[in-house]
Amino acid sequence: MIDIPWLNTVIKERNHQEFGTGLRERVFARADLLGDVGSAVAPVANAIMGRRLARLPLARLGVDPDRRMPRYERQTLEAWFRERGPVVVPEPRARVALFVDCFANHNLPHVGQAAVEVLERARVEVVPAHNACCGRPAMSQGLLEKPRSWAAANLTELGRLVGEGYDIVCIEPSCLSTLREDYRRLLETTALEGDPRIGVLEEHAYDITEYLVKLARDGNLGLELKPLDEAFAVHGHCHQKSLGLGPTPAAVLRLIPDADVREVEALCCGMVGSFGYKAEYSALSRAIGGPLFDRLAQAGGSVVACGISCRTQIESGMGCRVVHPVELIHQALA
Amino acid sequence: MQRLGSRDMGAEIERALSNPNLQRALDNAMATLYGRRGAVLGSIDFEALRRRARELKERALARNDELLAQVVERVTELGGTVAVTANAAEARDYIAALARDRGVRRVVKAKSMVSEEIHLNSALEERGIEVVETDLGERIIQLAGERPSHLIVPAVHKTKDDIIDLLARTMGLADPPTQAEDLTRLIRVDLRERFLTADMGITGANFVVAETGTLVLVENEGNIRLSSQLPPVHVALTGREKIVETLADIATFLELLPRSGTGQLLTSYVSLITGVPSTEVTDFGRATGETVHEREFHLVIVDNGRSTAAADPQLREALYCIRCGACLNACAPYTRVGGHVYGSDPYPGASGAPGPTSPRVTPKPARSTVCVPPAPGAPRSAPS
Repeated sequence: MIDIPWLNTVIKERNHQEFGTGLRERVFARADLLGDVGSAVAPVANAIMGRRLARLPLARLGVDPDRRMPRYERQTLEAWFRERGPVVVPEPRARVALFVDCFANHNLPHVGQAAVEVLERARVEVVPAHNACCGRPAMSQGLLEKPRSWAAANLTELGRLVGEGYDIVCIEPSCLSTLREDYRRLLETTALEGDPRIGVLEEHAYDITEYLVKLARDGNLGLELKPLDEAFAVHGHCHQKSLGLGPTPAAVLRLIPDADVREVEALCCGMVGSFGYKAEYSALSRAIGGPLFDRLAQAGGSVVACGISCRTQIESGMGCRVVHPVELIHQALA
Repeated sequence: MQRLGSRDMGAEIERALSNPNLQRALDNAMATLYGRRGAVLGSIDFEALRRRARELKERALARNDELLAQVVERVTELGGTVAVTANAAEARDYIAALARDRGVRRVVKAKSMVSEEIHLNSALEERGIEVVETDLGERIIQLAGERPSHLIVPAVHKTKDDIIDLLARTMGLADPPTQAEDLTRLIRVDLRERFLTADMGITGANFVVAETGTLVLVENEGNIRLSSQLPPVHVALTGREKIVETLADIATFLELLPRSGTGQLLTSYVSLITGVPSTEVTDFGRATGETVHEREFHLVIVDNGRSTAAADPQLREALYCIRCGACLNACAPYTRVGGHVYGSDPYPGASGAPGPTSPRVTPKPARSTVCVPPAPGAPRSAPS
């Protein structure tokens, strides 16, 4: 087994060291900052970025102006947590610290809220983890300095939470993959190489669908769900597959009574983070998505996908709404 | 479109996407390759197997210098000659000089990615030697004047119609056959004569066993057998990362490589070549105690940046690769544009990017791939 993704990352980093770093890569690396700015000026940002004409200058950066960016929400998931204050779950059967990823925080806070409410209904105590960006967006550009310091901060914060009995739950599979599959390599050659907290985090970090399936398997879910009168066409996220979690999004949907769940086989949606936005790759990105779009359409039903990349790609490629499984579980709460 | 260095990646991708033959060839082949592998993994604990293989490669690479010395010693004892070469030019020069000394006019060649890496064919051809590729896929791209686009299926970018046209053109056929079997037979007949008249056979090696000095080669066509056993001189060309510790280790790799590469439990042929066959010299039927080697055997081991990569804790990863090509079959961009777009000739993707495969013999990447952005100024192909 060869760690091809890590090899890619290292080679990109060497390219930067040798040949310098483009502005486009620096911008894509900072999903956290883009999110802060995007949410702060959300109505304006969305109105402007919603127009192709306004996106045209992006072409100079090497970004495909035909690609729409995900919309930013004014109220972040963090702000929502703050506003509602702590929620006491009597006799919780588990305690979860929700990893607040850049996209759930700024673009899809309603998915995060759905996850929190579903977990709380299952008598799980939920607190927000005060985490830094996982580092994936920057790592994908081959920029490793920030991810290394974020990984260190996250090891401290998430390690403390696990020590207090919390499980770490992620919504974005790419962030989970970073915590579970990349921190070990990322922190090699730093003072944190082989730090025991890396293993602790790998063991206690979960995907939200994985976590719900685990609760259900332990006989612990305790959710009353009502049937939803629709079929679901499920696309698996590449990082879920690499984590061995390919079947969990479908499995979680099957918790809904009489659910008609259709798993669609395809290699990849083609978006792959910033890949599909980059001008030279956007046509390839769409071509990769093509077979997936056909199969999803053929399967019929509401399209379900977990990551923001897949979601954006399928929404733009098929012109339909895409939902995260936890949104559907939330909808099915009796 | 981004223009990086001498390559316009966007334009190359567009060209690949709008090439109907390429799209058809990839559609036909990639899903099959991917599916076949999936079909044979169920019967074994595949994860345990690949973990074991990885451990063996890690252990062997950590002792690479020592094992290399052991290979030199064993193969020499067995009557062969070992040339340890630092870079592509040294390896090419060694083989070219040997060919000149032996008066070689025709070389038959089995599939060898290292020979592509060091651009061996053109070096020999420049010296007036005829080089004949004998692996079916390699022969096709040789006739087409192209480079391999996949590690194990070098002509995967071609459709059957492409091949019919190619053979009609290069073999001067007015009415070429249209069935795959007949096309294969045509090449087979053409090659058979060349095997019999070749002065030198060149092969690669999938693994080299330090303990015994054995070369291990897997194939499905039998051309490795012919290339290594028929001509009077056999040259095996391989990278130094291919050395493993013991013959027993080979069992693990033979379980893994055919499954991952072609979705086979085992390839049609597995050759274990230990030394050079020798014959006892007799004098009117009485043993003289002397032996002569029937043929000459040279093992050319190439470094070409591998030691530098092995010393680099990050790039070392690339040297554990057994070159099954399964990563390409699972790579979504690869399945849409094929291997030529990657530019990391001849190894597409990340394992082709770092020093070990770079003709620039440098730990820094001089290559580009779809997943790894091209380095500005990186040449597409620059034999040193």
